[in-house]
Amino acid sequence: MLTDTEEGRDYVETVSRSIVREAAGDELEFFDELAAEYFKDPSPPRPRDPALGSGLGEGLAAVTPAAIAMASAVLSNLLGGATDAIRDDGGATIKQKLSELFRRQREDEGTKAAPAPLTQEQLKRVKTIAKREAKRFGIDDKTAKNMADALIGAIVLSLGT
Amino acid sequence: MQVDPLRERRLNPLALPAETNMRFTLLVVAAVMLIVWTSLMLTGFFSGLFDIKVDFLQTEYPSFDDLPGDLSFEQTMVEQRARLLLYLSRELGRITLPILLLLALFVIATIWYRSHPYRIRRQFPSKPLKPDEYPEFGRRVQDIVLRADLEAHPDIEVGESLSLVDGQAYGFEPRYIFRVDGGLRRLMRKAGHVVETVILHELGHIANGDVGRYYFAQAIWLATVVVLFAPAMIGLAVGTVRGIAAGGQWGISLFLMLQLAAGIGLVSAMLAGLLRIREKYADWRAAVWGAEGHLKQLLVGKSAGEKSPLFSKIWRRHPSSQERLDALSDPNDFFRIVWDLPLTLGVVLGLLLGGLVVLTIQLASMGSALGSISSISVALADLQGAFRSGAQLLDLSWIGVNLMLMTPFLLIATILAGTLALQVQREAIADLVEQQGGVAKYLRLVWAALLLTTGLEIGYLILPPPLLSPVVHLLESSTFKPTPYFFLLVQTVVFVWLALAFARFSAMRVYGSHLGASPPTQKRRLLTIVFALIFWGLFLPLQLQRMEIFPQNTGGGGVFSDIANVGLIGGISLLLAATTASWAYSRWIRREDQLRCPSCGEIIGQAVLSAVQCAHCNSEMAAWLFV
Repeated sequence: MLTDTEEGRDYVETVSRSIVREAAGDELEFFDELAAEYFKDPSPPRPRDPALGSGLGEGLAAVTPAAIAMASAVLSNLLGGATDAIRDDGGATIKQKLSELFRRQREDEGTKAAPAPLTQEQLKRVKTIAKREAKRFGIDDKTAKNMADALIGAIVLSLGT
Repeated sequence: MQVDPLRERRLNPLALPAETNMRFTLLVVAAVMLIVWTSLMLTGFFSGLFDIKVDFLQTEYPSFDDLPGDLSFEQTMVEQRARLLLYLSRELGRITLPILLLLALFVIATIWYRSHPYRIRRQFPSKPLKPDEYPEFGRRVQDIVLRADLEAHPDIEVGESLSLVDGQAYGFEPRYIFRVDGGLRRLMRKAGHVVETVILHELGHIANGDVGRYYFAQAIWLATVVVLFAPAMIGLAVGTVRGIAAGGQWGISLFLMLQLAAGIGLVSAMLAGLLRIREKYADWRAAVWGAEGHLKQLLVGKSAGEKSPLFSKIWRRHPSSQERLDALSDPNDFFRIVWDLPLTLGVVLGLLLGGLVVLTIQLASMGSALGSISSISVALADLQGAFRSGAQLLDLSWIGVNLMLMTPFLLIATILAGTLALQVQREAIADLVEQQGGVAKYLRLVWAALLLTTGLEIGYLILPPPLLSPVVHLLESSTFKPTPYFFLLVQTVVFVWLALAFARFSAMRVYGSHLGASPPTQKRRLLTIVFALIFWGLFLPLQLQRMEIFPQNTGGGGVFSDIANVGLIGGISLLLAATTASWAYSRWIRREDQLRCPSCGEIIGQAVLSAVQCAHCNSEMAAWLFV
């Protein structure tokens, strides 16, 4: 997994932090705590027996764990088989791999202009994965969409393209 | 007390004992009766399964008639004494398993209950909330806790996980533990109203005194499943399979499995009913503390996506958001009779009655045996057939046996008085305040009587063995008498209705003139006793009649006819006398033109609960009922 390495984890956290900043800025001060909690146990919080509490807190899920899961899943998907190479090859950073990926795409399209770094198909796939992960962590559709858009923007910005 | 006209006054459902108390009592009684009777049944069933000679229900009482006629008097007494000793030992052996299982039930339940804080902490790790660790959050939480006027503040802990967003009150009196989930820290700035509402709701449980009952009810449920249901279902399933494989009789074990399944369903539904009502009470308390608006807002948002299938409603352990909204919107919702209460109560009474009828006969027989063993005069009376003749009214042994038989039924009457009758009284009070009355309200109690009677029949049916249920007799049509059974049902509905109508009538007159800030505790206790006696007198004969309608399984009820008649006359007489007394109380003793306002001392001159405020000083006349 991408987050098995320190670099992978740092990159995912960086991207996730951007997502949280966009989608739930008030949660940013708790980011480190929530991230630590996520990496300790990446599974979504189990549905709680409503008889054990007031039942009023449902639907107020934290955005951070969803953002991290989202970023991790999307990046792993984009990098595909390169994830293993990143783990094994200390010299190749994630940014380099992503940059290479997008550069090859531009070369394939035969243009030197600067189009969108992600193809339409990739965009669609990224949004699907992002929403799926967000739903797993109890995020509503509107917030999930915002998070997906923020994720794409965060990846692009991190590459400086 | 001067009433602030800007502050909305609500009826206080806790002015009378809470509905959670009633439901908890019913749950415990149902669990106990099911364990006792199922274990007796299982003793007989499995003894047959494993070819062990143990009588199914009751060893036949050794009669003098069975002894050879050529024995001398001394030989007869010696022989009879030996037979009675053997009889006693067998009976004691047969009730050993139920006693042991009951002990196991309470031991397991107590252990589970006492250990709940450890389990909760393991599932939701938390630590004491320290002021310097989360200063702003801690300060806000403390402010909210202070707003709740609790007698003793709980120890506050904060959950370690920031993902969870709720709270939980647990522990033991007088120092409960209240955990706020870590997620409430992150919501404090963005959604402080959510934090406040969650905390006040959970503190509401502490204020309502239902924390301990909740966890003990869970413990009772678990212990019942562990001690009885699970092993019994496994055993019966094995028996059914063995029966099918051997080509033998497997219908009985299958029927017993169905009865057990119904018992599990009953106890589970009762637990769910208890848990649902306690949540509504907690919402009510939070609303009193000022969280009503936010609470409704949260519930409206949640109710949009909720589905509540009809079938699962009975066993749902948490009320739906819509149900909670309905209760908040109509504060008098707590004062209405909910349909499941008379039905559940009826089932529990059926379990109690069906079991107590047989149990007390057994105990009475054992008592007779013990008396005959220990006292020559009692033995002589037995020899002369005193225990089998209702004509020996002056015979002390006979009187003692019959008193023993009647007493458990008083327990049943007391349970009814403390549950459904109390709810009828509560409804009567709300109607007084809302100035709703009339004959229609009394007629409406018929449905409660119908539901209770239906519940009775269900209770008789699911009790193993179903001695007082017509179902068994339907299978043997030659012994079943439909007409007397039908009239018995009608009589039951009528007499229950009469008793409930008295409960309403007396409540309106006795509570309706109660002034001041203290609830009418002594009056309520008196009314409870009177109601219990009335119900005992009216109801007991009806159920004893069953023994005459279904004599094959119950050994006949002829000996109880005298008790039944005395009970009926006594019950009706007491009903008339108590009704007259209630009327006289309000008409002559506590007339409106005699009552004085507790604040200004002026004559009130108007209905206490209808008017609420004194016309002279605007003080609240019945502060005990409002909050």
